[in-house]
Amino acid sequence: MSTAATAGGPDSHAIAIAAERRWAWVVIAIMALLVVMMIFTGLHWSAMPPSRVETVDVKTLHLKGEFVESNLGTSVGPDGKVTVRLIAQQYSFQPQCIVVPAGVPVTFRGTSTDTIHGFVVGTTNANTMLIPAFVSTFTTTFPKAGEQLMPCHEYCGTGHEAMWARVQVLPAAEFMAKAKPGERLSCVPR
Amino acid sequence: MDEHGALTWRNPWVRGSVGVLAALTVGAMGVGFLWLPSAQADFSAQGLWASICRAAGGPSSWGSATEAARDAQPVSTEVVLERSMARPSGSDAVGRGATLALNCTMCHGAQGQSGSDAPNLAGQYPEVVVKQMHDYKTGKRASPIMEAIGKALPDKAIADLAAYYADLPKARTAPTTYDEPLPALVRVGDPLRNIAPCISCHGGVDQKFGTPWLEGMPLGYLVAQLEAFASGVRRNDSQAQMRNMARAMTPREIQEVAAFYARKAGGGERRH
Amino acid sequence: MFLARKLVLAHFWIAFVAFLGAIVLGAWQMYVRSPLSPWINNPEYYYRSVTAHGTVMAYVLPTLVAMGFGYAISELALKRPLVGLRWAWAGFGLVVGGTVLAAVAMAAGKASVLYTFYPPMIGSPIYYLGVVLVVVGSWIWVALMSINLRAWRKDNPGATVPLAMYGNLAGAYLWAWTSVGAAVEVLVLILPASLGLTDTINAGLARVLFSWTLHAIVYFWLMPAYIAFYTLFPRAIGGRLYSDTMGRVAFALFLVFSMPIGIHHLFADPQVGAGFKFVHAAMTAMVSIPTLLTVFTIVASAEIAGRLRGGTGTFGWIRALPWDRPMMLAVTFSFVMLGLGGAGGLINMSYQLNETVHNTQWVTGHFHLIFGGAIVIMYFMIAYELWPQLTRSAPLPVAWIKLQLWLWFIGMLVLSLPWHWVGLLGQPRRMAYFDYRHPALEPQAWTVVMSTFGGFGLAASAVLFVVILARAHFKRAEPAAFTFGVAAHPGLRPPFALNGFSLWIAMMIGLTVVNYGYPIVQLALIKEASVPIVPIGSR
Repeated sequence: MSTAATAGGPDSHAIAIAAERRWAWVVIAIMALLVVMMIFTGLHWSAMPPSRVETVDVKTLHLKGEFVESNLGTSVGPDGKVTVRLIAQQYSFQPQCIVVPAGVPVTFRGTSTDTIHGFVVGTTNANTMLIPAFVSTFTTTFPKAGEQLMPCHEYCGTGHEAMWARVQVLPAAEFMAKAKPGERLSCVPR
Repeated sequence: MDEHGALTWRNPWVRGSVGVLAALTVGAMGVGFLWLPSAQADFSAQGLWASICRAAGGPSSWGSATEAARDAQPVSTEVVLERSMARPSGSDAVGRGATLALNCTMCHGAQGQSGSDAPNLAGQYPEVVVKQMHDYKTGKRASPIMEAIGKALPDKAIADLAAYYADLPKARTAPTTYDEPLPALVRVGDPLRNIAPCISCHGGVDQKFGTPWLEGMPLGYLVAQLEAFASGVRRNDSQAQMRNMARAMTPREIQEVAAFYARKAGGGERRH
Repeated sequence: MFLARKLVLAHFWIAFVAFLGAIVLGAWQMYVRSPLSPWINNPEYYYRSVTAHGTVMAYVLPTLVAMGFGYAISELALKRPLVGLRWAWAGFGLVVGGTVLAAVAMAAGKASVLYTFYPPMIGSPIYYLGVVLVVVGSWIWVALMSINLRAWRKDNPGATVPLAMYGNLAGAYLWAWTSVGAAVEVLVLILPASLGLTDTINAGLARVLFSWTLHAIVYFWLMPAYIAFYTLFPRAIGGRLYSDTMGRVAFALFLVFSMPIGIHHLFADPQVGAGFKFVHAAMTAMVSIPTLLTVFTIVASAEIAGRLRGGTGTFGWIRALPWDRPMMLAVTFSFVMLGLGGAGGLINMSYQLNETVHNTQWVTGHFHLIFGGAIVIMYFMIAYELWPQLTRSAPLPVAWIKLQLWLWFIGMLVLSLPWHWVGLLGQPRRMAYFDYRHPALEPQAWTVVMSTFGGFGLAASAVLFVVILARAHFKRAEPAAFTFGVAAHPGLRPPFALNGFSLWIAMMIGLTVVNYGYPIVQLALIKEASVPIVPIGSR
């Protein structure tokens, strides 16, 4: 990118413009590459953050519907699909300890009962906001077994710093042995 | 304004900028609303228009999401907390409540300040009294005496009682402030056990709607309730708000926290 | 300067005093949640401090700096007295009054909602009213900038708008439009709830309205710095601006693309559909373009200066640059931090990549680096450049300025780079303390300690900054006339579209309607989205 930098006649001005144009094309190419990356990721890994608007009635969450307390936890559907249902409140997630299988796609569905919360699991990309009246859904896979911390990551009040749940990732076989149809699993000691 | 100057379609800057912006917008929308959703089977179910609506954010449901657990347990509480429960009631409600409360003095004390292990009711937030009475009424909170009493009281009576007790001065104490020595669990909780500081819901720093005022409660009562939450015997806290806190507490911590709040009682009759 | 000297000085002094207070709070916050400190006795104190720090740094400091710099530019670039001086003072009064109101509410612990104040959490109405007054005061400034430019145009028909004034107005119009989002959120949704007129609030809509403001507000913050790049830097290093037209293109692109991309703050939110999320992500890529163009133009302008000073060869001009001058240091530091912070921003913008960092400390590290670092360091330079004019003082002590800049730069890197790393380790945002004894959190401890020392360095730098400015009041002298930088090819007339704003404003508004119209309307219509409010604070 050489420039004839001294103030001069139309020649230097033309060179200056040409250099600018070259740079502008480079910039546009970089941006286009990033956008293509987003499209590629979206198509091939279907890695989409909560992507669909789904509403619930906050006031009656605990009375009826998908997020009543007895329906929360990890379930295995008849088609083998693993779904974790959880809610966030001031200042805990319910269930407080979530159990999932390793190496299997897990769909999280969650909402909040009061303020805005959110969570991230360990250093994974399991990360979402939980907004009252809306259901957040995303699917991810946990590669390794072990225990991860799951903090609330959006300020939800003066107890926010104490809002930590856990995620236990079990080897798939061990998990499936525990899972019974119609039951909701968690690792909370009774 | 000079000649080439107006901002009309004849100005190449206008044509160029608007054109590029329009192309960019249409392109981005095409990718975002048409192409990307097509990669997810359940996103694009029910046709193109439905897929576009979903991508735009029109509310819809995520397929068969609402199957209930087969061994579904009954709900933990049927009460929906409304802010209207805490609206100050008129003096008639307080008066009616005072009359009704004459039946409660045997356990809960003459001025709502009990000398037994029954909780103090004086100054308790009205929505707390309403919720607990309704839970007794529906059997969601267990107590032979209180369940019978609850079933005998119509909703209006409960509201009047709540208004009366809320009107009484709080049981002999001042709110918990950070200036005094507080047990660790009360002021900072224990984050990795998911125990929030008590003061972040129970007053002093923050007061969560529906959360009872604790200062001056009888020690025996506080210990019994925390143990009941910890073991899961008491389940009327919606979505396990208190059970999640109490479960991780050790017996010693339960004693310490309960003793702190019970100790907040000033003079007057109390039992340990 | 003509009439605005005291006005600009007032704006800057209030801004920098508030800034100093907020920096001290920030350093304290870093310390108190690090392993160096026992857990704070009362977590609410921490959140109170974060609210105050954020409110000052996000709403008070940059608004006052932009306003003050704007009034100065209006007189210095247009070379005429400011029209509407009394209105300007009224606007200043509103900003200061609003700040005081908000400060009182925060100090009393009644507004620990953080500067993003996401409902359903609701604090005291006094706090929100304070923020509203700050914004309304700034709208008076926007109107005055427009009025002053119009008056100048009438007296100079067909003349080229000076570049500094062009950028100034771009920032002003951008701010006027982008502040509408948060203003609607506060006036229509939050204040009624805070005043007890309603028990429910549409939290999802509030977040979308806030996102309207949340991205472009950082470009409002950035405009003074970019004006300084284009118009102060070339003159200060003895060079010329490579391209005046490119500067206008950058300002125009900012005006169009800064605002209608806010949903990239909502990638992880369930109340917005994936289609709009992608569109905003793609448009965010567009807003990176003016920054990259600016980097080229400014580096090329530096090359002009380097070659004028005798530098030869592909890189020899770099060595020939006037490194002894504070402006050279400041812009270099700013560009380094802009590069690092901008790269982080590109990651945040990339839709799916955002999921790895959303609401972790990476985000906090990012905006401290890019705003607190790249932009605020230029705020310092703006103050230093204008100070002799404003205070009629002798030139400021160069050695002290360079020390202050170095402290800021090093402090910011030490603060923010470990902060990015701890975010990748999964540390969540906005917590008053952490239990570093746990094996998963123990590796995070050293990063927070490092950031704490960075914070101390920044606090020292801020104190030095205020001292340098204060000392000038006691060293009187007649300053030289103030000039802005000159283009390398002066006298070139920019195209008509780049001498005005109507095209860009029309595109900005049109794009806003397309990008935000449906999400807002649709959310407003969802009945279930109105959820019970959660007032915070003791009863």
